[in-house]
Formats: sequence, C-alpha cells, structure tokens
Amino acid sequence: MTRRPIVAITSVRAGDVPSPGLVVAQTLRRHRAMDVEIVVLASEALVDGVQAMHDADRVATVPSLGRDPDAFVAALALLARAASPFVLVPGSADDVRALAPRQAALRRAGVRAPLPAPARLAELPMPRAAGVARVPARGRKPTGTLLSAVSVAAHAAPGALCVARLLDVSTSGAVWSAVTVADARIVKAVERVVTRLRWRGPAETRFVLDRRGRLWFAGLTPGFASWTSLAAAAGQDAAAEYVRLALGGAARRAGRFTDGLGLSRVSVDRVSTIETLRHLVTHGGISHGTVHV
Amino acid sequence: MASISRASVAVTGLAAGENPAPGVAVARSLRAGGFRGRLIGLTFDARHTGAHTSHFDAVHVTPPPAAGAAGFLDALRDVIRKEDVRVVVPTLDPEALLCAAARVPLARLGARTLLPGEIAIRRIAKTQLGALARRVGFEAPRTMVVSSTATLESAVRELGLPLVLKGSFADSEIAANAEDAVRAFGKLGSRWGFPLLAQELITGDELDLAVLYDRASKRVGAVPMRKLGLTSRGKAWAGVTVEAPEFIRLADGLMRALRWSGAAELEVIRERTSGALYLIEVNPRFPAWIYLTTAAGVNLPWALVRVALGETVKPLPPAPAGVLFTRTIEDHFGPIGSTNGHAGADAPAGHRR
Repeated sequence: MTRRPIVAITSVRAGDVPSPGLVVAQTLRRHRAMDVEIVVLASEALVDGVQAMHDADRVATVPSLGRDPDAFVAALALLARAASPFVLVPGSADDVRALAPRQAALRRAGVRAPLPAPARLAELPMPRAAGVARVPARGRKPTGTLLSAVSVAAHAAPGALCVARLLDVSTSGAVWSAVTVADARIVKAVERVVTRLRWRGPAETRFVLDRRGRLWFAGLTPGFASWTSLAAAAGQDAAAEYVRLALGGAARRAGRFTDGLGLSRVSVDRVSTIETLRHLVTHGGISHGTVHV
Repeated sequence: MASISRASVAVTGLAAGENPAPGVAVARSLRAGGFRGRLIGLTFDARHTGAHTSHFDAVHVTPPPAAGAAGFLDALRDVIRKEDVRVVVPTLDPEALLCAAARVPLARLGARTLLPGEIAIRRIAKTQLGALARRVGFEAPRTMVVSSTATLESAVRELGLPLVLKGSFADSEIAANAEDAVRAFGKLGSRWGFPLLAQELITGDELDLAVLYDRASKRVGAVPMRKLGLTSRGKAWAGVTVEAPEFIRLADGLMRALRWSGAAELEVIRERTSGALYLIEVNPRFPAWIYLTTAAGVNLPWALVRVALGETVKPLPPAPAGVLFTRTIEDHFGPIGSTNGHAGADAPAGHRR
C-alpha cells in the first residue's frame, strides 16, 4: 500500500479534438503542484492508451465508462484497493454525467471524486437558478465575444476560477488559442452561477459579451474546460484545486489570475514503440518504471 | 558542419491545429538533428498557432500563395535579406511550386532550396498521376474528371459505387450511392471549385512514404509508415513504421522518371486481396508526420538542409519497423499579441523577435 495519492484520469484523448482529460493530465504533470502519481484510465490500447503514456506515470486499461459504467466502477474499486488515497478526475462532460449518479458506489470503493449532484445535471446546460441574464431560448441570440470560464467548487464559491476569451475554435469545437480576461464583472457572474447552483466539482461556464457590453449566460458544461492549462499558467490551477478538494482540503475562495495571458496550442507527434502498445494490450497496463519508450 | 548547423533556415507551414501543416514537425526535427542556427517561421496567417511557440526564433507573415506568386516571392526575398536565410524549406504544396519556380533567383540571394523542377511538380497533379504511376509499376485507381452532373453520372456508371470524389486541391468524400455522389459533388465543388475527380474506391491498408532525393535524384532516405488511426477529416493521428521494400523500389522508379530532387510524400493503398500498391497521391513536400522519421533515426529534414547547403550526405539506413507515433498537443503560453512571447517589431511586413 502506497501513501502517495493516485490521481486517475478518464478520457485522455488527443486526435483532432483534444479532451479536457488530456489537458488535465498535462497540467498536473507540468506544474507538479502536488506529489501525486498520475494514472490514465484507458478503454482502448491505442485510442486513449498508448498516446497517453507521455502524459502519465502509468496507463491502465479499464472497461469503457461510456459503454459499461458499472464495470468501470468495479475495475476502479480494484485499482483503488491497491493504493490509497485514490482520486478520480472525469476527463469529459460525458464522464461527469456517467459518474455523478454513481457517487455512492465510488465512495464505497474508496474513490474520491467531488462531483455535482445528479439533479443539477438535469437542468443543464441552462439552469434556471443561474442568477444572471441568460441567452434566450427563442428569438434573436445575442452576438459578440465568446467567453469561457473554468471553475472548481465545493458547494460554494469556486476555489479556482479563470476566464478566457476563445480566439480559435475549430468547427468540431476544439480550442486552439485563447487569452485570459481578468474582468471583475465576469468573474462575479461565474461565482454567482456556481454558488447559486451549489455546484460541486469542475465546470465550464460560457458567456456572450455583446456589443453593448451586456453579459449573457450561454450555458454550463460539467467538467473541466479544454483550456484548463491556460488557467494554471495564469495562476488558477483548477486541476490541482480539484485534487486538493478530493483529498479533503477545505473550501476556499479563488484568487486573482493574470490578465492577457495567451494560449497557443499546437499538434505534435509523440513517439513510442509497437512493443509499448503490445505490452498495453497484453498486460492491461504500462508504466514508465517497467517499459522504456 | 559548424557553419551548416549555425545557418538560418526558413520553414513554412505553421498551421498546427486539428489539420497541422508540417512546419512545426520540421522545426523539431532540425533541432533534434543538432541544428543550432536560427529557425525562421513563415506563415500566411498570424493566427496559426505554430507561429506562437518557442520552436521558432522569429516568425514572419507572408502573403498566401493563392494571392499570387509576386507578392509571396517579394515577401520571401525580404525575409531572406533581413534574416540572412541560407535555406528555405517550403512545406505546403503551393509554396513548394512557387519556390521551385524561383529557385535560381532565391539562390542568387544566398538562399538554397532542395526542390524538384516546376514541371515535375505539375506532373504529379492528381489528373496526370495515374498514367505515370502505371508506367513505373504502381497500380492506379481508375479516375475521371467530373465538372457537371452529366459527367458525374457517367463516372458513377463507369467506376461503379462506392466511389471517391476529390476536390481539386484537397479534401475527399466517399459516395456510397448516387444521392451521396450528387451531395458530395455539390459540397466539394462549392468548397474547392470545379472540376472534381471521381476515383474508384480501393480498400486496404493505407501506407505513406516520406522520402528525400538528392540533386541527382538518388535516394537519401525513405521511411514507410502504416496509418493506424485517422481523424474525422481522414488525417493520420497514429501510425507505425513498417518494412515496405517494394513500395520504396517503386517510389525510386517514379522519382527517377520525374528527375525528382527534394522531399516528397507518397500515399498508397495496399489492396486487400491482391496486395497491389495503388498510388493515390504524391505531394512535393514532407508529410505532417515527418517527426516520426527523426524518431526512427532517419532525420530527413536535417538531411535536406545539409544536402541543400552542398554537403554530401550518404544514404541513410532503413528505419526500423515498429516505431509508433501518436498525435497529441503541446500548449504554449505568453502575453497575447506577441510572437514567441516577445513583442512584434516590424508588422505588417511580418512580426519577428
């Protein structure tokens, strides 16, 4: 039994739409804000397995959370039994939706995951209790600057919060460049939404700032934003805050973040060997300690 | 060697999003090969994220090739003078063509290239490739030019279904039935213009070959790769080096026939039942996955720079099979409005550090 916390992350995928899970894994490794072992939970050896090797200390294959969530939780229980404490990070909005109703089973399995109550998810993406002007469901939609906020909260005001303007978003929704916007009015709006919803865990809230300066709430997506790395670089490490809360850290208010910090995301190829893939397929796991890549 | 490793090298193609150009991978390969000189990035769109990374020492914005040869070449000459560029490595098809046509005037400015002749590049156009491919021993899918619904109907009759419709510059769609074909015809035509190409669909393993030939059309190196994973746009996000001696032999024959020098990417499909190699496409540049060749010990971009500068480079050894690449992301941060985290100096002609 090891005492070094394990942080297990789902949906670590790159391809043409990099997942929030991949960005969280890279952010935790890059900033090393805490001494944890990063384990990527892969459902397929190639698609989210071998490619995650570079962003994790270990890759373990498990049943697909999307296809068989109960089998996934059972597999997680086995992994958690061998190591404590064990934190689970949902790497996509779909993963939050699949895990939220299974929080009791996760707790019994020794898995720590601060997630929203399932009832909160039913109201998304436009909860009535948001407390800010919402983009109308019908009629003319406001146009202007698209803003995104990432936050991590524990039933109260967020402990980490950062706002960014999305500059380059592909047709498939992937964010390739963004810039932080430290605007007190937008920060307050995010705090209001998250606090009113008594949101627990990570969330991405989106707003539209129209040409007349009015701010419109455009929706909340459960889980981390795919630009969470920028938040960490700007001083709001939402991924580390999530792990801290999962490990029992007290709730706290988010601090300030750098204004005008830009993110430029580039596709790069990482190299391993077919032997690493074979090992992952045949053994169900790879680690930097046992496999040289 | 010391002077080569400290020269200034300009690389184009800095788009690095979901459909990346080869520029960033070429830059990584040059650094991995021991290049210690200045790397100058050239982009026609300042928003291309590869321009805002630490892979380049300076970045300049040039007009897009589509805006005309004169503007692009004027801007290129300007950059060559300012940055004392010794080698230009175009990594996009239209830029390769423009640089090939201008290699003599560029050399007069002191900037070398390693490129095929303009005529050779025109001979690998999709409309002409089939006949040439068959002459050197490749198979080639039957291809027809379609420019109207009437010619599309003829193509469906002649080639059968499913068939592949290809845009004049890029992009393709597989049509399973006649309705699909009409829909794809409209979509590709509105995006890329007419005419389009209709091709019989060949099914099998997709193999890619990155190659480099010297000024005498002798092969310097070749790395075959089998695609393992494709994005929604059909681009490889995972692949593995393989042994493909027959593919390399046929590629040598094709490139000899074209009197090719410089980089190329050849794409074939190994037909499932016969094993025949159908040549689908040849590009006059390195592929976006070129860093795999470097990781496999066959650093083709670095060899290109050395050959361009007149060094005799011995043929590189074959790449071992089983080296795997997967595409992921790398995030770079800096004050916005800057390049490489430094304020721009000479916009609008370009921005540099």
